[in-house]
Amino acid sequence: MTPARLALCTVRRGWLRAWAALSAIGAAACMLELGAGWLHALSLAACASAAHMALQTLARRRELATLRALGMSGPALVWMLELEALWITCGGALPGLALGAIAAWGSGRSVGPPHLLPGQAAPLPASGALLPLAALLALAGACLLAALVPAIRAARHEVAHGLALLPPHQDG
Amino acid sequence: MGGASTLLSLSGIHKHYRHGEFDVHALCGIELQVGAGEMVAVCGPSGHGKTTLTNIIGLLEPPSGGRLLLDGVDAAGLGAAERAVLRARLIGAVYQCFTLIPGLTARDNVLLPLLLQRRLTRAERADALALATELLARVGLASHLHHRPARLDPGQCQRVAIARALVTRPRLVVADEPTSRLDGSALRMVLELWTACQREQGTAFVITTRDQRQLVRASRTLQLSDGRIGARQADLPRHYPRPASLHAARVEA
Repeated sequence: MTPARLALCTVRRGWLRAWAALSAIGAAACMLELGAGWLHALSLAACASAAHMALQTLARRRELATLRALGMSGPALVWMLELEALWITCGGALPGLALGAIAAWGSGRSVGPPHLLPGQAAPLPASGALLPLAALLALAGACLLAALVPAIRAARHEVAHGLALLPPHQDG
Repeated sequence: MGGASTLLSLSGIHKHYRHGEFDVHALCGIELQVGAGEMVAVCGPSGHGKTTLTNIIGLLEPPSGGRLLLDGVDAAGLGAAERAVLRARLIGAVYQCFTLIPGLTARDNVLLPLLLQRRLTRAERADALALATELLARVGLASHLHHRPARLDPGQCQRVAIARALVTRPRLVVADEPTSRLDGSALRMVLELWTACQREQGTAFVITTRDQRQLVRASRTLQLSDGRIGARQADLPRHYPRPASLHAARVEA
């Protein structure tokens, strides 16, 4: 090997090492960004679910008190409200995921395949059903947790007070 | 009323509320015995404790003091969960403003207490459906089985609530102003149904009312004034004065 070729190889190896390190940092940053994005989306969904359930239980105090008065136990009421939260979450998340998948597919088609170096391609999310499924499960868990507090509050509310509230058409 | 046939016994029942800085004495030393198959009407002006009394008898809230025996069980000291079990087992209730579930049809509303009690088998469910249909027919709502509360007028909602209170064949029915929105024919049907329940099942009724037409059917009428039970009448005469007049008479005295 000529000295010139050797020098070129060394530079290349160094360059490659530096490129690999940069790629790793870039990948980690992308993963962090992706994770933060997921966390952001999950917290938004959980907050929305908690707010929705809190308002729902407030608006339905009379109805929930009636159910308690007719024999529904406190734990059964909590379960009912949790199931409702799960139903609402799935009702929102499944179309959301489908729309997201369509949007990703559309944007991928319009932008075209990325011409990146191999190291940069690594942080792109793995395709397949596992990630959306995991996201859906995490979302459902977050929303169930968020709905738990309003549900427990509703179950502890005084039945007699709830029944004394005027029905909506007689309110005010 | 007393002895072996006593289904409900209240002695020295008190109820205090804390309302801001004030202590409100809603009920003061209520004494009341109700036997199986008896209909007791409690009348009195608004704000004198009728709803509180029905809430306590209906085991919706505990008394602050006193003794409440229901079918031999001391219910005054029970926790909310135990009261709920006893309530589901023994009591049917008609609450003020009817409290129907808006998303359910009239028949499903009537069926609801049975569905909440336990899981029904297919045969039991068919029987329950037949019973709910029959009860609705007996209060004149045979053609409204599948109507939701939003499509019923207040009188019809009240009749659904009355049918719902009877679907579990309770030993005691507690009703707070149950006939306030009923016209003559609807009231007649309801009173006939209640009389049949008294006669056939020995159901006892404690009813708060200001409805003169309903007082005529009561075995006893009690006047509740300022949280105390006043005038008692074993047999109500047909010329029983209007509750407002009774209260005015008490005030004048």
